[in-house]
Amino acid sequence: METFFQLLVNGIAFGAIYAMVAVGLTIVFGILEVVNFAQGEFYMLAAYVTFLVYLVQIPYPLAIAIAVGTMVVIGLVVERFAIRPLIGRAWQLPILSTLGISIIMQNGAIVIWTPNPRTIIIDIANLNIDIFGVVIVFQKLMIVFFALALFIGLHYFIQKTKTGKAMRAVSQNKEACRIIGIDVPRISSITFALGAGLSGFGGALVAPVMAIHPVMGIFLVLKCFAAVIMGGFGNIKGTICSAFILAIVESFAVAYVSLQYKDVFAFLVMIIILLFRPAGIFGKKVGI
Amino acid sequence: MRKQLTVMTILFLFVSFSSFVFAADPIRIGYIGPLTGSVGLLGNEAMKGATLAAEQINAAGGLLGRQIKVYAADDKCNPAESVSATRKIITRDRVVATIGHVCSSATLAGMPINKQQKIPHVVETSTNPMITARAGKGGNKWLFRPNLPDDINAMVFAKMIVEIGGPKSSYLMVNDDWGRGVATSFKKVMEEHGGKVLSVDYYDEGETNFMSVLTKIKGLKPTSLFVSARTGSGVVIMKQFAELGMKMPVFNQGDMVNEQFVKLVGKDVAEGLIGSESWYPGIDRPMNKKFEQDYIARWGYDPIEPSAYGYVGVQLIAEAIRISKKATPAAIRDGLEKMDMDTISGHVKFDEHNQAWTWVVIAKITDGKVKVVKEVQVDRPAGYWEKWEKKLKK
Repeated sequence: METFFQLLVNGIAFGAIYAMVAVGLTIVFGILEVVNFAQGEFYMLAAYVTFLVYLVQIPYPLAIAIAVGTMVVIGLVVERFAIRPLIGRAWQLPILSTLGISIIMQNGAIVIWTPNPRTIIIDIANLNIDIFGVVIVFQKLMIVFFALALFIGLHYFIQKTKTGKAMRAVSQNKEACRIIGIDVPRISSITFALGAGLSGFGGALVAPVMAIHPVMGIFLVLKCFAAVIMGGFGNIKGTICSAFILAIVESFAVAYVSLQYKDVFAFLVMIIILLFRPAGIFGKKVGI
Repeated sequence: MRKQLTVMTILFLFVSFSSFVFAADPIRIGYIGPLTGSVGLLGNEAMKGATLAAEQINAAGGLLGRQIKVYAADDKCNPAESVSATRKIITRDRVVATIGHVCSSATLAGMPINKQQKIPHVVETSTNPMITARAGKGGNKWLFRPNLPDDINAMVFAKMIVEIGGPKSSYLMVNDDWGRGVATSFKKVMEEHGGKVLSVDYYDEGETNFMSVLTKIKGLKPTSLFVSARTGSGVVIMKQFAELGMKMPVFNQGDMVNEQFVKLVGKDVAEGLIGSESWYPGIDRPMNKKFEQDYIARWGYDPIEPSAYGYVGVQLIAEAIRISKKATPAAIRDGLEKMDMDTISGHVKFDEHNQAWTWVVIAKITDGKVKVVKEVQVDRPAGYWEKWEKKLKK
């Protein structure tokens, strides 16, 4: 029984990480219709920035803020120079462009920080909390908590604020937005920066509990793509649910079947859901 | 116009000829190993060891009046990349001998290329028994290995796991030729000594989530955990091991018992980890002490296992050139066959399968430092190659 709950807790913690990165992906797709292959690299860079900032003994909460801020800035720059000039042109171009950015970032990280893994050791982050034999470290609890807070904030932002409403409008019809005077390039910048920032949060939060290395983003982003597809491209709630479902299924598949078949089960769930709900878990067409 | 052309021709001849006469071409040695990816740390360390050895030889006057230069190619710990990296370094950099490969799967894929191109290769890090079973007599005559295969390490180390770690063990291994080879040979020896293996799990290199598999292992309540992992994955495994509050002794075949690892996971988590290799820092011999000092002086931090193996690899190639007094691939191969040399990772003399019988070194992390527990000189067990030759025929 302990094992069962422990596996559930593990699944939820990893689900929160998947969800943060996947939601960034889905927003960018839903609004800009761009598949961002560099999403995993924002996660990786944020972890490195956290590592660097923490090295000069800046307290960890501030390090998170700096890492996320840096990712937002990098996101803005990438959007301005690699995405915006290509919007409205053939759909393959932005894909190639983000793929290129991803390769540049990965190899840039190898050049700057070498492929050697790095870690941050924070005592409080590794504090074990034991509830009737089910153990969770403080940092994982923080990750789940932060992820939920972020998603609630994001929901409020997109539903209630003027910018959020403009984002939804852009996702529905860009042409009409231009006619009524919505600044589409500005919305595009904000969206991309938001996506990068969400990934940045993920990277900064996992830094104390994971090894930081240049390819850490690739392994994660594949699962996030699965979550985005399962959730119905562009559907935020669908993506969040799918991310948690994927992570929990993985967690149980590892313990009760085999570690080697972990990915098989994750993608099997995706295929089964798409078989019965081709438009994603909540069955809605593209839209925020 | 004609005058200009003549001057140009003379200049051109002079330049090309002068480089031929005055600067003797360096002896080119290739290092092939994982320089990027999740095993990158180990390949880069081996390259640093190899560079140090080359610099020391050059500072002492070089070989046959020529300098040595080490070229690098990235195999990414991947069999397919290994084939192209081996081809590239032989054809493009025109090396006369190669050393390297950390991952056994990469070695097994790259070694036929060495045979085909007739370039000798010294495998200084990979430990799958199949490698030398396929080398030497009746096989690939271009491949030599100074460090011991896993099933020999198992004879000493697996017995120790049962003695120190108790009878019930769970295995967590990397899913490649090396990890699978270690699992098979250690399981056999442990069962011979009254041990029991409760579970064997394989993970793919680059995995970041070990929580569930460790939870499963925790539920099985083994007395010890045996991990076959390289530094990068080892860090994540041990972090999550501590996260789950697991306390059993951990044994490692691979690259987790070193000071870089201690720095990465923290002193408390790494404490008590026991590993087996052909070299660890702190072996009490003048040659080893000098290597450690030189390495720290050159690179600014302590060497880890692959650093030492890269160093030995270049030294063996250099010694082979000294023995045969020629720096051609065939001469180096003949030189390696006649090798009889003391190195920092044991005495190297290759047998008919081009395998050297050195020692097994066991070390434990104590107070954040690597402490050598014991060194066991190994002799070849009777009928060892016959057994492997039979397996290969199947």
